[in-house]
Amino acid sequence: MKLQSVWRFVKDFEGGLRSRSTEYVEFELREMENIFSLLLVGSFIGIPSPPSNISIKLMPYVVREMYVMGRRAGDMDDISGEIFGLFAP
Amino acid sequence: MSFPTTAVILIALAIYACVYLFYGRKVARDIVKIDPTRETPAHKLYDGVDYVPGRWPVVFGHHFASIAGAAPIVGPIVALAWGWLPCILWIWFGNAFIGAIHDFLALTASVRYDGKSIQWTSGEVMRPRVSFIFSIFVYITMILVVAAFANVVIGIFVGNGAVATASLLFIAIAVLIGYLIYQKKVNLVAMTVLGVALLAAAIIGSLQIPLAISRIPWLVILFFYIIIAASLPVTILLQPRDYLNAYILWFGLAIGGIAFIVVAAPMTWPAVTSFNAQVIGGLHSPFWPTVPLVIACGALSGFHAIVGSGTTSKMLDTEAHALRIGYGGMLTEGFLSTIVVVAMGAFGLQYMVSVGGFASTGAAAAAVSSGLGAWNVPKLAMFTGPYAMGLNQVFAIPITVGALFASLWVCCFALTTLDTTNRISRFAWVDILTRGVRSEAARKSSPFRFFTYKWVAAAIAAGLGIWLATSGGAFSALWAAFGGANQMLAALALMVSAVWVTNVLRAGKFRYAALIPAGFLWITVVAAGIWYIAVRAGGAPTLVIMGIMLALAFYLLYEVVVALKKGPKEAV
Repeated sequence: MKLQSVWRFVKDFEGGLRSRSTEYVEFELREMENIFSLLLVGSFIGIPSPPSNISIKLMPYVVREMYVMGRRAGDMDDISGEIFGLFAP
Repeated sequence: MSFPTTAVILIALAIYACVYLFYGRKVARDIVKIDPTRETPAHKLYDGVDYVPGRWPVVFGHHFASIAGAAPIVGPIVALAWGWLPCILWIWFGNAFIGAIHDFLALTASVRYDGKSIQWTSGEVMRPRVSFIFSIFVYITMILVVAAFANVVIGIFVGNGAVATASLLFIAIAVLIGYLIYQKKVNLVAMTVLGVALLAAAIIGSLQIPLAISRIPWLVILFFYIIIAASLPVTILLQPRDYLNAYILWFGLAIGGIAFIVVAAPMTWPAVTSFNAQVIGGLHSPFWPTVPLVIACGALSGFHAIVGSGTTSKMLDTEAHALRIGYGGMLTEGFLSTIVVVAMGAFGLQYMVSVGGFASTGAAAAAVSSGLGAWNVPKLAMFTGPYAMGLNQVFAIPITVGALFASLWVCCFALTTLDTTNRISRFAWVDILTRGVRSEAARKSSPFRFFTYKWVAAAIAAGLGIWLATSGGAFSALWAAFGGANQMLAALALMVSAVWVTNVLRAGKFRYAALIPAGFLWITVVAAGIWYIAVRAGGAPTLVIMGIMLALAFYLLYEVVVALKKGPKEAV
C-alpha cells in the first residue's frame, strides 16, 4: 500500500513537471476561445457578424464560455501578472 | 575539514525537515492562519479552464518545474570562490528564513485574493503605482537575465563545442516532435519515447561533431534566436522543448541526488577562503552584502513570487497544500543548489587538476583561495565536470558523456530562459508603455503601435540584453547584476507580503517573521548595489541599471512606510 502511494506521488510529481509545458498550449487555447466567443457575440457589441438570430441560437451551447469570458473580463487588470507567471524564467 | 558528501547532504535534509516542520508550520498556523476548509480560487472560481484544483504532487511538480532553471546551478559555482561552507550556510539560511517564507506568503496572499498576482496585490495592499514599479523592475530584470544567460550559453558553447551541437540538435528534435504531435497528431507517448531516444542519441553523437564557433558570431546568432524563438507560436519550439526539458530535469536530479548521497567522497574544496575573496568582476567582494548577488535563486528568488501568485495559486486544492508547495518548493530548489555545492566540494579540485593544468589538488586549492580568476577552468565546467565525476564513480557513466549531459541540462534551461524572458520583456514593455501613455489618441499613433509591435518589442529586449552581454562587464559582474535585480524583486515581493501580513492579516508580533527578512533582504541588496556601483564592478550600462534599481528600491521603501503608517486594511 505504501509503495503504491510512493509510486503515485512519483507519477504525479513527474506529471506536474511536464504539465508546465502544457500550460503554454492551454494559454494559447484560451486565447482562441476568447476570440471565438467574441466572434459569436459580435453582433451584440457592434461587430456585424454573425447575425443576431444565429448568435441567439448558439448561445445555449456556450454557457460555460460566457461564464469564463465574464470572469476573464474581471481579470484583465491583472493580465501582466498572469503572463509573467506563465513565462517566468 | 574534510566532511564526507553524505554527511553534508544528510545535514541539509535534517535542516530542511526541521525548518519545515517547526518554523514553516508555525508561520502557516500563526501568521497566515491556514484554514483547510476555506475555499481556494480553484474551487471558488472553478471553470475547468483557468481555475482547476490539482492533486498536490502534480501542483508541486508544476511549481518546481517553473521555479527550477539554470540559476540555482550557476550561482553556487561562482560563489564557491568564498569556500563551500559560507556558500552552503547562506543557501540553507536563505532558504529557511527568507526564500521559503517569501514563496509561501506570495502564494497564500494570491490564494486569498482569488488567484491575483503579487503585482496586483502590491497595488491593492499598497498603492496602484507600486504595481507599475513592479512592471519596471520585471523589465529591467529580464534585460539582465538575457545578458547573464546569453553569457552562460555562449560560455558553454565556446568552451565545449559538443554542447553547442547537442543544444542545436535538441532544438531540431523539439521542433520535429512538436510538428509530429500538433500537425500530424502522432501519439504523445510514442513521441515522448522518440524524443527522449533522439535526445540520448544527440548527446552521444554530438561528441563526434563539436561546433567550433567563437564568441562574437554566437552572440549574433543568439540575438536572432531570441527574437525568433520568443515570437514563434509556443507549440513550435517552446512547448515541446520545455516538455523534453522536464525529462532532463527529472533524470538529472534523480541520478545526481542518488550519486552524491551514495558516493561519500570527502569535501576537499577549501571550506573557507576569505571574507573578501575575488568574486564579482575580479574584485575583492565582501561576502556580506554581496553574496545574494551571486547565489540568487538557490537561496531565494523574486521570480518565485511571480510563479506562485501567477499560476500555482489557481491550482491549489486546499490552503493546507500551500506550505508543502510554496515553502517546500523553495527548500527543494535549495537542495538542488546543495547538490551543486557538494559536487564541486568533492570533485572540483580533482577536476581542476585533470583539465586546468594544476600539478596537484593542493595547487588547485591554492588557486581557489586566490579568487575566481585563478581557477583556469571555464566556470560552468566546474559544475558539469565534478557532477560527471560523481556519476562516474557511482554509475560508471563515462565522464565525457556525464559532463555533456550536465552541460546540456544547464544550456537547455538557459535557452528556454532566454526564450521565455524575451516573451515577458515584450509584455512588460507593452504594459509599461500602455500605462505610461494615457491618451487614447497617442496609443493609436503610429510610433506607439510601432514600438508595441511584437517583433519590435522582442528586438528591443534582445538588443538591450545582447548589448549588455558585450559591454556590461565580466561574466561574474553581469551575473551579479542579474542576481541583484532578482533579489530586489524578491525584496519587493516580500515587502508587499509583509504589508499584507501586518495590515490585512493583523498578525501582531508574528508579523516580524515577514518584516525582519524583508528588511534584512532590502538592506543587504541595497548595500550590495551601493558597493557594486562604488567599486565599478560592471561596465557603464550595468552601473546605470543598478543605479535605477537602487532609486526604485528607495522609492519602494517610502511606499512601504506609507502603507504601514496607514494601518490595518480589511481582510479578504
